[in-house]
Amino acid sequence: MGSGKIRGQLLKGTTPLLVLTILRNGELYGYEIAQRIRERSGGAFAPSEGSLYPALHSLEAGGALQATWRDSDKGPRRRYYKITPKGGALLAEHEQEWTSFATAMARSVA
Amino acid sequence: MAKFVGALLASAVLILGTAVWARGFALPVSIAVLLAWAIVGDVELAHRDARAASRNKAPEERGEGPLPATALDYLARLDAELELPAPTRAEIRAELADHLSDSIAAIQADGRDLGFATGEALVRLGRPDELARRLRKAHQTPRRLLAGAAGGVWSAGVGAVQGTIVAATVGLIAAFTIGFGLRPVVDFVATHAIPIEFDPNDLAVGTAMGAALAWIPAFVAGRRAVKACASISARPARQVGRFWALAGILALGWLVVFVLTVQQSWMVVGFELAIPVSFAAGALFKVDAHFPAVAGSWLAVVGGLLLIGPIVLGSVLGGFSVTSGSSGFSTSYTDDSIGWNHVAPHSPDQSINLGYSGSVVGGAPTINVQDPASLSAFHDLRIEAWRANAYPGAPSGPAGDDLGLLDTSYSAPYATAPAVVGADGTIEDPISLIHSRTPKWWIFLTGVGSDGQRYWLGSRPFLVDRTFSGTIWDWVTASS
Repeated sequence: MGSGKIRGQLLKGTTPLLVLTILRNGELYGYEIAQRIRERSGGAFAPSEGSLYPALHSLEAGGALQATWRDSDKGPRRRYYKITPKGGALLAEHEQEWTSFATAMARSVA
Repeated sequence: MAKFVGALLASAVLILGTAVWARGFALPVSIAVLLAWAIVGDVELAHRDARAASRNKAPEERGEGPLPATALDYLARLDAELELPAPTRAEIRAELADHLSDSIAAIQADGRDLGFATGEALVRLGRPDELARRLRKAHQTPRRLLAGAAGGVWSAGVGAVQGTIVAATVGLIAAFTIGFGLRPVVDFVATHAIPIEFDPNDLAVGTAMGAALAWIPAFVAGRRAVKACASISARPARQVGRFWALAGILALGWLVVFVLTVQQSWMVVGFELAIPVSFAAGALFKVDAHFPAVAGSWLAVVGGLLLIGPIVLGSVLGGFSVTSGSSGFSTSYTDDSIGWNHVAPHSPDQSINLGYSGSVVGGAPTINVQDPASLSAFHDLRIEAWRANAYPGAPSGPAGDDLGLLDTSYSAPYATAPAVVGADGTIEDPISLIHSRTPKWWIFLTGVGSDGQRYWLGSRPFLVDRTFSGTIWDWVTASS
């Protein structure tokens, strides 16, 4: 915690929210998504890469994300993920839940 | 593409050539066109799948940025644990290979060597079996399983229609081959070598061919169901194939055993039971392979069996028969040689004139007595039904239908009923034969004379030649 990293147990279940939030701004591939989450959280959130891909595939299977193989700017073809309207609605739902949870937690531990 | 155009041109030539040569053969031509398109469609689908698989190949297979051996080993172990359809596995493998490549490069950029960077990148992904389990869970949702089941049922229906088109075409080819191609050969052999007779309309040949052709739609339906279900539910074809095989055996087995009503014989029972087996074979046999791969090695074998099998079966079961010489079938027989006197002695009064009318199956047969007074010398009149066998050497058709050899292995009739002579001289025959598998019967009118001896009456008894129409269950539970 001292280095700003958050305990894994607290992050449990937040990966879909983080993924959808990151993808709100455009298409990205798996490695980029992991990097963006790390960057935006200042290194505090480092979701296990082993849970990132199952989350991506689960969101895709549920219709929240759409994946396409296409050439990257440099290097080989990548699997890019894009948020769908269904994913947008799911994100709004997750955000509301998280806000309620965070507010309640803040009040409880204050 | 070249094959596609070639198949298209070949189809066009075939259609035009057939249309010019055989005007009026609209149905065979239509079926040939549909078959050609079905084959072309399948070839194209296979090519498309192959192209898709090529796109989804992992980077090292495409020659793009080889990964260290430990990373490749990790991906191989992950792949082995995934238990997902091949295209999905290929996509996951390619995606994670990209990820590892980026991850290793990023760690190396921080000044670490390749070995350390690879190890670190793999640690971040976690154990391959655990990652595989999570990915499998992400893909194999209950909703997809339900959709896969529904898609499988739909595809089974589509496959049955496709298979029926193929079967009809094969049947037409077989019919033409046997009717026009084989017949002259048989005639030549019959004239110059063995006195052989071939009847392509014989029930044994027809049943064998018809039932064998029903296996094709069943096989195609099973195969299509599994492929669709596996694709939609994100499960390996081998895995869902077992369930489809079982479901097919139960559903089609129930259908052929308890519902399907046809003219039965032990041979037909065997062929009918092979229909669900054929579905199960379609669901299990090389179900991961594409159509051309299977067709390449098996189409000729299956086609050959479909053409040759019925002929062999027909030969064994009666389609072919060797005649007894140019004199043909002799109809001379005596009351003893045909077995009638096994029932009782023939009445000394030969003037009793009887007739038989009506159908044993579904009708109310009657014995008509021209002169009821002629029966006054007899009492305890009764109708007796005795089993009969085909008369040796009798040809099929009307000439042979009129005779049957009484089965003297039975010491008693199958059934008897009192014969009551009506005012108009008719005797109703109430004996039901529908619960027996025996096709030929002799129906006797017998009576006890003034000497206390029972005789069979009339100039001859009546032959009933019936076919057993019912389900397999009816057939199996019927008496012999």
